[in-house]
Amino acid sequence: MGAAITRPGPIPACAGIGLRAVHCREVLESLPATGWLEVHSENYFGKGGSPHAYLEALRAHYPLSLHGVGLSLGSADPLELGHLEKLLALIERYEPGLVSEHLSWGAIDGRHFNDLLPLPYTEEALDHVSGRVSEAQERLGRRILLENPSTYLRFTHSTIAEAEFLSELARRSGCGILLDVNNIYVSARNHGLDPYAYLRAVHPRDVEEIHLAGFTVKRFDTAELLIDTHSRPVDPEVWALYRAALEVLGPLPTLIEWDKDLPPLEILLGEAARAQSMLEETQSAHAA
Amino acid sequence: MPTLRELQSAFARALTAPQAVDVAAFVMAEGIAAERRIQVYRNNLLANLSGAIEAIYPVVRRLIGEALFRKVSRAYARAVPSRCGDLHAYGESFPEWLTRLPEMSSLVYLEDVARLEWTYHQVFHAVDAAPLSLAALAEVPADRRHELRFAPHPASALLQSAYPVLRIWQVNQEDWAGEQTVSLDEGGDEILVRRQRGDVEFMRLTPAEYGLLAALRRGGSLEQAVTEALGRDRAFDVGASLTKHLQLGTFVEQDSNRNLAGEDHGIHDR
Repeated sequence: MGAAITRPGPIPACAGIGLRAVHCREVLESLPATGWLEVHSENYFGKGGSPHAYLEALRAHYPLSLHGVGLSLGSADPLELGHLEKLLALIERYEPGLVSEHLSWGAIDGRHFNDLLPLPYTEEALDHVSGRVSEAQERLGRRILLENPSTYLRFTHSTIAEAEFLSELARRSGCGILLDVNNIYVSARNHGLDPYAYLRAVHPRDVEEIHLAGFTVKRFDTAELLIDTHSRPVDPEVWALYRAALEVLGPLPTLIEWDKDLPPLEILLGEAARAQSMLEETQSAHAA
Repeated sequence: MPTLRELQSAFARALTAPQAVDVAAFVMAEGIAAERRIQVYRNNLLANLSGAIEAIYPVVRRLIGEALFRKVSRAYARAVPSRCGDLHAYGESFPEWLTRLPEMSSLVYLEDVARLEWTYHQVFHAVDAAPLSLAALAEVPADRRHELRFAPHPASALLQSAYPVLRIWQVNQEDWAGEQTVSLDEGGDEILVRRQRGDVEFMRLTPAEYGLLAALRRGGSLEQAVTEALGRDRAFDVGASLTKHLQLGTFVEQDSNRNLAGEDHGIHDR
């Protein structure tokens, strides 16, 4: 805290890494050449202690993005103002370059499932989520990004394609889109859709950030589901889709997420370096 | 067609009661049965909630073993709903819940060890605050010292157990290389849980010291706290104990204390 701290500003169109507790000390000691850091907002809802000490110290060196998993923007319950107040306090404390949440719900009737549950893509849901995102942005005093989730089922009464739903949400609420390329791939495989068509269905002007992560495969007798576990390297098919996304959208801040079975920091940085080189190729192509 | 609320309520029932699958009627099969697709979300829910318990209670896990812990942490996740979008808030009732299971009845100390782990978790995340220092106290004129308030530092807690929970906790740390056995005959513990540069530490207290700190935490005056401490041990050295805890940062700096000094010197404007 205190006065006159110079902090790196907006999130650059570079590769960054999702920062988890086990890597904090090593990142602070080695200050690796990664473009920016992203943390889960709720991991800093505790008020003090070493999580904040590390984040304060790291904030002086890196642009920071806050990524929420628990606001439950798609829930039919009232917006949880206590949760928003904690998020606002974090925003005021850390001055993040980007703040994001998910197009999903996680609680109903006061009971939380602490997961990113799928929404029906209906006109009713679109009205509801647009209103909630607008309210959240008003209370937070800033624009937020909404991320497309990995889904394992679709509802029979959905009438709007997800990419269209997100684009319309952005138009109505003024929010941006965090495009998770791995989630596009996972959901497309789980529902027999074309992930490349998804890329063409979002407006480049809405997308401000990209996520990449690894999935696992759950096999059944006749079929399989891809599960978005964030426990593995990015899949070659997802790298290919990412390259296509950069061609359509231009260079964008790109995050490598890894949340389970965390690898040594250098593996995570290696994945980010791969994204960075693809970003640089796109930049020179766009400049040419 | 269900409303959003109806759908989410039905989905919630399907997550929490495996027989309640009315939501399956609204799920596209797409080559894999709706029930199996819903099961992915059930698995996520159980893994997320039981994972939170596993992160907070590693010593309980060692004490009852990996297999049984997996069973009870998942049973807890099924039985006790999460009420917060922040999973760090989940698991407070685990110590008491765990101890009610019949298979735990022989582990009489388990609830207290679990309470120690929950307390550790709370103190780890508690707010930072400047401790009340000896230097600040020295600025308070002698005739006003009885008005001083020794309020507990927010990143601290007291814990009392009839069992040697501190030694049980210590010998079950991964890096512990010493004596492995703890005898319950060693007797109970009265412990101060505190944070030092981000690390949570436990400190065993004497009975009188515990009485002093417990009375102060309840909001009692220094005089009341000293009376309680002396009731536990007539030979208790109040001055030495207060000095020790001021040096440790057991108490928090407060406006009311600053004012006591400020009124006299007129230099502290807060």
